Amino acid sequence: MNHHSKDINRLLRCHHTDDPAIIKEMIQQYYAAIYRLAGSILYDSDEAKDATQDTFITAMTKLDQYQVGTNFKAWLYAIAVNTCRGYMRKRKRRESLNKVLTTVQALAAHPPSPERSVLQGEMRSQLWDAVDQLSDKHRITVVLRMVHGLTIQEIAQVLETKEKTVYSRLYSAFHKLRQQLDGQIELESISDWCPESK
Amino acid sequence: MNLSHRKAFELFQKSVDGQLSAHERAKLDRHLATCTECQAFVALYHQLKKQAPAYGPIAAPSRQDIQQTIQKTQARFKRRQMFKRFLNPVQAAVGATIAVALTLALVWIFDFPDHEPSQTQTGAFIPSTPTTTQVATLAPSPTPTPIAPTATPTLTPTPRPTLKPTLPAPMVGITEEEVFADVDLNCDGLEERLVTVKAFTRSRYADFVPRGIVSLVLQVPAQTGYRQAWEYKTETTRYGYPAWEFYDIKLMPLGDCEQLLTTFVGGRPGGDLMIFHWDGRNMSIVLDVFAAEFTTSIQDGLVVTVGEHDCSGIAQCRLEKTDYVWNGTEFILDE
Repeated sequence: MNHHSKDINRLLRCHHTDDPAIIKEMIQQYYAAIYRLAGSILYDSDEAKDATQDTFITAMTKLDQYQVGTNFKAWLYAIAVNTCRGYMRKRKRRESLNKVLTTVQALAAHPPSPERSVLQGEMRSQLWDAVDQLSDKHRITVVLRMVHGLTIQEIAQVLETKEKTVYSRLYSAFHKLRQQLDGQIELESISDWCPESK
Repeated sequence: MNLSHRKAFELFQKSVDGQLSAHERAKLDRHLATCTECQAFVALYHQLKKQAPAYGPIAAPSRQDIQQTIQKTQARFKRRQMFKRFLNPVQAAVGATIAVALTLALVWIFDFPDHEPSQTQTGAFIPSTPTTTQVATLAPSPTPTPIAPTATPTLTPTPRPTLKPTLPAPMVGITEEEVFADVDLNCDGLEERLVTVKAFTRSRYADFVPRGIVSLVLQVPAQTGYRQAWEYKTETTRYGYPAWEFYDIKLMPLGDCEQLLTTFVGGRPGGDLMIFHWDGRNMSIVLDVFAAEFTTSIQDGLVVTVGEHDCSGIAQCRLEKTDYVWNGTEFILDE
């Protein structure tokens, strides 16, 4: 459990869950992380902002369900991921509606939105482009692990699944990435492979 | 090196989380030293980790963004709380209203005041068959002339102050009277009125089920309108409501101007064929036999041929016919 979680837990022990001080503390501590998480899942800064705000609203309304002393970060990330999934579902509905309304040709000719172009431009990495090609299930697992540095246990908690499933998803994701990028990755020395030895 | 790639990958991930035991670490070390496949996985991990900061909308949120979000979140949260507080009493009120409405509906369905049968008879009755009851009613006449009951072989009026309704009240909600015919039954120049009384069984769910004609009534002309002089009512009930009824009610000419009243009473098909004769004071039963059908003929006097299905001991039922002849007072078996 990180120090932020400890702070929130301390606050929750002393204050009622309706206390505005908790909202303030929670947002100040986790805004950046949740915004980044939403952005890395949704690729849209506006949607990410909305999703971040929704995450905090949901968190506040469900705060009485949180068990004080447990991993607050994982709890909050779980809400964020679920909120982002809701946005993705909405987007898919919009896109499928668009597909009906416009021809496939018109869609193909349509340039990506400036917002998305900028975001994609920031991800110059071919490797992370390959991550984008993964299914949402695998991509979100990889993002939580590699971008947000969550432990396997935390990811399992966030995705409301078993640790074995997380290992399996990660392995599948890495396997697919290797297949996609076969021969394009420069193998580094593995002499210092273990982060513990660093 | 008996370690699968998948297991090695799992151990590697554990090591990243700092959850690897010394034994497991040694195992993984040995595996990685020789397995190029897993070495590639480790390399991929490092590459991804190195480039991860460039993934997603990485622009750090400004202090202003955070402040705005705090304000918006607090405001939205406050609104939600207020709405919740408001909604709770509203929900309670709506719930209470629904509960009251349901209770009233239940009371209305189960305790709706039952209508008693409209007729209250006075007079006497003598059961003519085990399943039916004849009720001879001599209602008090508004005219000063008293009507003296005359003795008939089948009807012996016995004074009886009141009769309770013969149909069980809870299940017979409504009775409906209908004039069947205005006809001179006894050649006295006055038209008597034959009335049928239908009973309706009230359903608990406000649905009305007709039960057919359960009573025959004879009304005679009075100073003002008609007064009831006779009533014959089915009494047999099944599960609390009348199971028998009158059907095929007809008038049969007798002589020049007299009329006999014929009807079946019972369950369809068949039942008791009953023929009534009104002499101006009393209604007498002149025939009461079990029958499936009947015909009449006037050749050498009035004959009623009664048909009854005989299904005993043979493959096909056959119609057994019996003649009853009019002897001036009643129908008797034609020997």
